[in-house]
Amino acid sequence: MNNRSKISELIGVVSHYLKEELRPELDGRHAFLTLVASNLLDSLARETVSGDEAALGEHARLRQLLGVEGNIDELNAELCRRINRGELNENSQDLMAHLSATTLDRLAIEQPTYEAYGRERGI
Amino acid sequence: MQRLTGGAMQETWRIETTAPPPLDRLILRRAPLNSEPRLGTISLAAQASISETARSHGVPGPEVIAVLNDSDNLGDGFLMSCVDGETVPRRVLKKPSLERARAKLVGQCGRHLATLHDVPISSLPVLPRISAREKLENLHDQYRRQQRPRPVFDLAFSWLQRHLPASEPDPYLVHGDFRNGNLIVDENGIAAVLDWERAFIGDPMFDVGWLCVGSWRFGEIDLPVGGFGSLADFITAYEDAGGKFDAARTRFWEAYGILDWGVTTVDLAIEGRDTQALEKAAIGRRTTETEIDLIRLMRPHE
Repeated sequence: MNNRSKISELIGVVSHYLKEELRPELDGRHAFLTLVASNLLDSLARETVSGDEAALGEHARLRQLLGVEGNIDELNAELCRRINRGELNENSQDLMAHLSATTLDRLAIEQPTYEAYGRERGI
Repeated sequence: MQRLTGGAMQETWRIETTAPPPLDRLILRRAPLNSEPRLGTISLAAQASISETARSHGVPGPEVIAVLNDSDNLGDGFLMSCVDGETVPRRVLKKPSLERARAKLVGQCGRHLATLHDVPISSLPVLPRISAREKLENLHDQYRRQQRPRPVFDLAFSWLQRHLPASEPDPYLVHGDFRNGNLIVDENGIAAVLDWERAFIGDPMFDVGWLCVGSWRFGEIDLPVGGFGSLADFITAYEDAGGKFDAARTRFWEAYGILDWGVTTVDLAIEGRDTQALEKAAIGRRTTETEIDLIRLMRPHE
């Protein structure tokens, strides 16, 4: 088992404690915040496992779409410039495919229960 | 006295007294002392005044009992009657006891919005008059200040600039935050319309587009109007009550609304991390839901 899986599993243990053991003992605002905390930890566990892979995919697509080199922040800034200059818009299938793939990879980590996520992934 | 949850900037308190009804249970809405209204929001005294005027035209709302003034030394705020019912969005959409009420919600939204849009501007306190172009420019400034480029947001700003309404429509009262979460719902449907904090004078289709924002459907993705109804049923009720519906402007304001909420989640997340506030910090994990909704709205149809 690699280190990341171990970290992710430990985060999951903390999250499970908050949601399943602590929350039933609390009322009102703190019961609610315990659930918020648990959900946030779950997303951090998914981030630990697939965050780097999502970023690698985004970076590779950006290089292909823009045809230039640079780190991921530089390329995203360049993409924003091209959108703002009107060189790329929603009629570009390549642009929309990139934005959609990048957003779905992030949603898989941050909020996989959002209905539109399942709809777009066809699940 | 008991502080109720909800309302990040303004406090809401429930107060129980020994006075006879309806004064035995009151709601106090106030801003902390010496605080200025947030950008794009109006004073609590103005909110109380609009709520009362709208109520006199038939938009359900709590009865305003008193507006705080300087001599109270309690800050800006007002006291209102306590309206019973559900406000938590997912309970409004799921609670078995509200099943019959839910069937009425889309029609009531259409009727109440048509009524409030028709409130004469001359009977209201002075409100900011904001065009679609100004709304968009203000939001763009808010986004630029964040200095966190997100290509989907830049594309959405570009799309909105290209889809600005050709001419500015006649100005009407706009609620500004009419959605599940700001409605009190009981067995008969909408018992009160709350939270006039973002009211302005402008395009009434703002309220319809905002009501359709994906994040306010709370999982009921195929019921665009608030998560409880179809657009066709909404239009019927809105027009029956005298409203003039416009599909293109509604789509513009829905896109604007998704982007507005998306940019706001980034600000809340930054604030949450700066102040160690868990709920706000966690909202940063919701920015991407607005991005997928923007992509779905902008994607050309085959």
